[in-house]
Order: sequence, then C-alpha cells, then structure tokens
Amino acid sequence: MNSGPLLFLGLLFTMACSWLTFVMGPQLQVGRMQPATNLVSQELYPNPYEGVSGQGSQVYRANGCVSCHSQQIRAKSFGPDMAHYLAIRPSTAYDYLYDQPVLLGDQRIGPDLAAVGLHFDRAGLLQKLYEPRLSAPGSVMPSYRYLFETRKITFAPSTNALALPPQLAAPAGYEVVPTPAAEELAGYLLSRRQNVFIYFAPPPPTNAPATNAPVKK
Amino acid sequence: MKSPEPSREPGAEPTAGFATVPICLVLALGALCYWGEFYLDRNSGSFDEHIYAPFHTWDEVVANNPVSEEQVQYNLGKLKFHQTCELCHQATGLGQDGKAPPLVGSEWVLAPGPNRIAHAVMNGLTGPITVKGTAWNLTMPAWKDNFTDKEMAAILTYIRSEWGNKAPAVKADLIKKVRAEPHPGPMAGGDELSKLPENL
Amino acid sequence: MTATPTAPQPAATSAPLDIDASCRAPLLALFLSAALWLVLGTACTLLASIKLHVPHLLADCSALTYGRIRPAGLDCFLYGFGLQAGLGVGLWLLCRLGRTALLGSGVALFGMAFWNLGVSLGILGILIGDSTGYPAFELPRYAAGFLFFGYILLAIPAVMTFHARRPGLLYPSQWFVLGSIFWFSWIFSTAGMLLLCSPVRGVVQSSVSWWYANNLSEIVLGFMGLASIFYFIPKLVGRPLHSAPWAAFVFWMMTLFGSWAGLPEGSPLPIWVGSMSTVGTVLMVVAVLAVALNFYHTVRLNVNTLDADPTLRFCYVALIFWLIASAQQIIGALRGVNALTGLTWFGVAQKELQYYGFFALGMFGAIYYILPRLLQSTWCPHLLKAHFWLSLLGIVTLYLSHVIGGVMQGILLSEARNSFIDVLRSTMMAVRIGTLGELLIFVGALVFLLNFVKILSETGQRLRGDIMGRLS
Repeated sequence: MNSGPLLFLGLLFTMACSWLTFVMGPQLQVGRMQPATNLVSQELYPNPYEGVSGQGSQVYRANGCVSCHSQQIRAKSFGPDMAHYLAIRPSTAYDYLYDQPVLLGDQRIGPDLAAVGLHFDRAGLLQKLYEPRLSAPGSVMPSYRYLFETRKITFAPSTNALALPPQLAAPAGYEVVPTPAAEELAGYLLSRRQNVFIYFAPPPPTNAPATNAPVKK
Repeated sequence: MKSPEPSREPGAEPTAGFATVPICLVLALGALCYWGEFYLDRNSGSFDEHIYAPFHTWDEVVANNPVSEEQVQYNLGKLKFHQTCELCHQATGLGQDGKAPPLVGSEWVLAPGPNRIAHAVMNGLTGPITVKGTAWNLTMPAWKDNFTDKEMAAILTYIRSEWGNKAPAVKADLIKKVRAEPHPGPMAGGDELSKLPENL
Repeated sequence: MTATPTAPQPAATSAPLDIDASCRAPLLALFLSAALWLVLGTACTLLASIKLHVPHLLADCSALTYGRIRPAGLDCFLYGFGLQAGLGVGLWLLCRLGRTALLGSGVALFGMAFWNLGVSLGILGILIGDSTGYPAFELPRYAAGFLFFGYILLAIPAVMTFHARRPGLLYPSQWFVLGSIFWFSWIFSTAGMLLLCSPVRGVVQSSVSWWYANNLSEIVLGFMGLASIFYFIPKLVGRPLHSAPWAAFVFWMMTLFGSWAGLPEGSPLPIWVGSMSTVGTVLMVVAVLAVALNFYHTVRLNVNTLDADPTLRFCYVALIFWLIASAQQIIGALRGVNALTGLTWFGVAQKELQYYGFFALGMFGAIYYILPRLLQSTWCPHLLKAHFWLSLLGIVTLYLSHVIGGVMQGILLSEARNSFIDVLRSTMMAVRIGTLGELLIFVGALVFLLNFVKILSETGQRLRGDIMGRLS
C-alpha cells in the first residue's frame, strides 16, 4: 500500500460502494415517489396543500425540536410505539413526502410526535408550548414563552388568548397571546397525524427518472 | 515475517512490521460475509422499494394490509353520507323535524330488498310518507346526478349497516338498473314507493 | 512509488526540527482555534445538559433554547474543534512521515481563516434559527459554502506535502490521514448538494443525513484519531507497529464496511437500507479485532510505559475507547438490540464516547506532543495531568450514565403499560449524572486552553527575551 494513486483509487472504490448503497440506491428507488391514493376516499395522500403547516415546519426546524422529539412510529416488532404515542399505524415513506426538511429524529427525550395531531387540540398544544409542565408534571421540555406575547387587553380579550391557571396567568388587564410563529407551529403539529390508511399497492411501472424536483402539487 | 528491531529510540519515526493478516481474521471475515448473505436474504425484501420493515416479502405486506371490498365500500359510503346526506338526515341518522325522516330503524331502509329506497334516492321523493308510524311530508331532491352508481350503492350499504341497522349490502348493479329506468320528477310519496317491487 | 523520486525535492531538509518549523504557523492557528471552539462547544452542551434539569433556565432567550444550543455545541465540537485539530495533526503527520517540510502553509492559513469564518457563521446561524435540522449537519447553507472552500484550501497543502514526500514505504497513519481528507470532501459536498442546495425528496433526506453523520464520525474523525494512535503508540513505546498489512486490513474494512453503519432498522426507508447498514456494521468486527490485536502485539501489555509520556496515556485511553465505542455500535445495530435501545440515550452514549472519548483524547495526545516541538517550550505538567484526569473521569461518567440510562429507558419503554412521562422520570437520575460528566469535560477543556495560553505566553516571553538579549 505504498502507492498514492492506488490508495486514491481504493478510496474512490470504497467510497463509491457506500455512496451507491445509501445515497444513489434510495434516491433511485424512492426519490421519484409520488403521493399515494387513499383507497377509500380516492384522495391523494399526503395532502399537497401546505399553508400553515408548511410554515410551522420551519418553526419546528428552527427551534431544534428534533433534538428531543422523533417523528417515526416503528412497527410492533420494534416496540410498542403505536401504543405509547397513540398512532394508528407505523410510519411509511409517504408520510414524509412533502416534508422539508424530513426530521425523523434520533432520540426520544420527549415523546414521538408523528401522530401528535390525533390527541391534542390547538389550545392544548399552545398551552403545552407555553408551559409544558401544566399537562405533564415532571416534564423537562423547555417553556417556549418567547413564542407568545403578553399584551394589554384593549377593548375585549382576544379570542385566541391562552387560558392559563392563576399562577401563570398574565397580570390584570393583560393577556397571553400566541405569536404567528406559535400558531404556525401548532398548525404543523396538528397536521402530524399519519392516520390515513394507504394500501401498498404496487404503482404501475414508470420510466420516470429519480429527481430532486419537488413533488407536483 | 516477524517484527524487526525490537527497540528503537523514541525520537525516530515509527516503523511497521510485515506480519501477514492472521488466517483466523480472514476466516472470521468470510464467516461474517456468509452470515451477512443470509441476513440480507431474509431481511432485505429482495431490495424492493415497496417492502418496508417489518415485512420481508410482498405477500407479507399484502397479508398485513387487508382491504376487503366490503371495507372499501363501507368507508366510501360513510364518507359520502357524512359529506351530503347528514345535512338533513343528521350524522346520527335520527333525522330532524322539518328536515328529513330518521333512517335508524326505518322500515324502508331495513327492507330486505333495497329497490324502493334506491328509487327514492335516485329520483327524489316528495309527498306524504309514513316512517316508523310518523307521517312525514317533505321534499328530498334527486341525487342521480350527484353520485356514481358505486357511490350510491355504498351510501345505501352504509345506512343499512350503521346505527344498529342490519340489512344486506347494496350492489352497484342494482343502482345501474334503477338509473336505467327513467322517471320524470320525484317519486310521489310512500304510495308510489310501495307500488315498486322490493327487489329488482 | 518505492524508489523513484516523484517531485523535485524541497530545499528544506528532512530534519524533524525544520519540519516542525515549517508547520508552525498553520498548526498553531489550527490548534488554538480548535482549543477555543472546544471550550465554547463544551460550554454549550453543558448548558444544554443543565437545561434538562432546570427547564426554566434562560428559557425566554430564543437563542439559548435547548433545541438550538445543543446542536450549536455539538457542531462547535465537530467542526470547530474536531476537523481543525484533526487536520492540524494530519498535516503534521504527513510532514513527519514524509520527512518533508509542509508545502503551502500560507494556503493552509487562508483555509483556516475561511473554515473559522464558516463555523462562526454557522453557529450564529443555528442560534438565530437557521439550523438545517439534520443531525451533525445543522450549519446553514451560507456557512457550509465557506466551510467547504476552507476545507479545500486546507486539503491542498496536505496533498502537496504527501506528493513531495521522501521515497519510502507509507506508514499506516498516512493512509488514514489521506483517507479522512478524501472522505470528508466527498461526504460534505454530497450532503451539501442533496440536503441544502437541491434537496432530495422525502425519506431519501434521512438516508443521506444519517449516512453523512456516520461517515463524519466513523471515517473522517475516526481515521484522524486512528492516525494519531497508530503513530504515537509505536513511536513512544519504542517498538515498531506489529504489522502494516494488519493496519491495511483495518483501513479497507473500515472504508468498505464501516461507512455503511449508522442507518437504523425500522425506519420508514425500504427494509433493505437498514439491513445493509446492519450487515456493514457487524462486519466491522474484524476491523476492531485487527486493531486490538495489532496494538496488543505492539505493546505487549507493557504498562510501565503508561508513565512514560502523557501523549501515550491519552493515546492508550483513546484506543480503548475506540474499541468500546465500535463494539457498542456493532451490538447496537443488531435488530433485537436496536428494537430495545434505538432512539434512547444508548445511541447518544456511543456518539459521546466516539467524540469526547476516542477522538478528543487522541487529538489531545497528539497536540501535547506536537506543540512543544513547534514552540520549543514545555507544557505545565500539573495542568496537563489535571486535564487528563478531568477528561477521563468526565467521559467515563458521561458514557456510563448514558449507556445505563439508555438501556433502562429502552427496557421500560418496551412495556406498553409504562407511560412515557414515568419512563422519563426514571431516567432523569442517569441524565443528572451525565451532566456531571459534561461539567468535568468542560472544566478539562478550560484547563487545556489555560495550558495552551500558558505555553504560548511562555514562548512569547522567551522570544522577547531572546530578541532583547540580541539587541543589547
């Protein structure tokens, strides 16, 4: 192993093996994935319309929620994920088709969020972000008070003001209101359901090459 | 070849001996490759992009994702009912005064043959009709242009098997035959419906 | 490439003193930056760790929220400390083993400047909310560009120096250094293109990001650490490395199979991706055995050598940590174990041992050897000893607490009737002990920086004294 060029060629070969297996392989197979058809409602899954949930995914990414929360429900042979996180089925690749970025997560300091939209409502999520320990005493999740605004009540209390217990409520004449970022994040989390049953029917053979282009809506 | 020079002064650059890789390591590598082959044989799903953990073959995927025709029809009917029919008949199927008669326990819905209610839904219904002993006199619009045969069959199947109702499913063929019989205007109340055969 | 000279011989001779002198400026810059980033990085991860116990601490400051400060700390360590220390040690090894002075040290200095600019922009970007979200790759796109450019500028002197080497047999450390440099340029550009510039669709992003994170840890940083260990242990023990062919075996096994590790089974990717990764990880066993046996035969368990040189102490411990971390990675990849310990503290522990245990200690050992020779000074032995023990105790505490915590968490979560919050509460004691370990590591990093500053100031004073002496 004393030749520079041979060393380089060897490295090139081994790197190519790894790259072909884990980068090109999945890209060629799954990289041209199109939305699946929900057999029952005949609608496309996932829903191509993003709106608030798409903006919320950027809030999720920016605040590093993936550091504590995963978003992958694994099949029963890997553990009782569906029981713990109240999901109705394991995660599939279709669930992440429109996600940008795809944040499957590597650690569960907090519970998995793949199906969180099924057992929280908007008010509950906002309260959780403001003070996680209200609904889960002993939780280590940080409070995201900077996603909320305490402001003076002008004419009447806002309809979207948070309902908080007395020890956390805003002083008299003030209310706690979510900022747009908090609303977007809540909208995003509510969209995390993974509750559409897709039948893995083989799609018709297609000659379309793998592409990095975003999925057509 | 064994390592040369047993000791060197620490300041010099290190050198390396030339002992060949022990055969046991090579054999271990071979054995692990053999194991790896078996592992991939069992757990790679033939490198098929459609096979996801924990399934190993396409047949396993299919077997674990059963979707029967009945299940599809039920879910389709439920979806369409709640999108449209529930506006009058209510999500509970109990109907509402001034809007629509109940479907729960209704003798028209539970008739063994669905021909009569198929006509009502297809062509609309107006005029007096008695449901569960109560007289009703409202107007139901015709739905022939709003649903396909499959959808209408699914809705009728749904109302015949939900809320404790138990009556046989409705096939799309029957709906097709009902559609093929032209009928100007809505059905004229319970009287005209009763004149129809229960089954086609 | 055995007898024919390849490039015109540089004017500088091959005496170690002159080689060290040629490296002085870029290496000093790289090592000092690395030390500073290490302190900042360990401070950030310590703060993040403390926040797990005191969630309200500084919670109103968005830049310091756990989800931002923890990736920032980790990336400070990986990119600020890890790659700079690794490249510095790598350049020095290429010079010494090639018996030639460093070529292109000016280019290297520019590279270091761009690299530091990139890391600074990246860390600031993460704190203001531009994190990409991908593990070990959170630096935003605008920072990644500077990083890559800086890296190329640092790789050019390495390749030039290697090309200008004296004819002779290559030593394993040279392969490892070159392998690491080549690997990083490929994985970083791939990840940058496919995740940042033209993102791939859906779960392919996860495959690319896991592939990148593992190759960064296992090959790029791993090979730099192994290069240091393969060089210093035989050199300081005074015996030749037992076998170069064995080292070659390790090299190719790691590049071929070690680069496959890191993608867990059970993810939404097709099943074959996870299975291939598991097979590759398990096949790493032969590489781990080959390293262990190679060093066993080299050192022959002569533990008297432990007191000989602080570098040797660091390198021995680093080697043992590499063996343990690799063994844990292999065991953790097996399907049954992964089902139990996946997505728990277990995986975090393995990475921590790889980074703070094996890699950092390997680099410390090298820097403790190289820097006095660059500056013709000596370290403060007390601070050095303190650093060693703080780092060792810190990483052992951190690792053991997280491994045990992770296994406990996995076992408890495998029962559906244990609620998540109860499992979390049960593992908090382990996390508390882990925070203690992080504190020790942070203090160790401070001590290292202090020692660094001390040796620099001593050198400065001595130089000033020399100049004054010559003037008068």
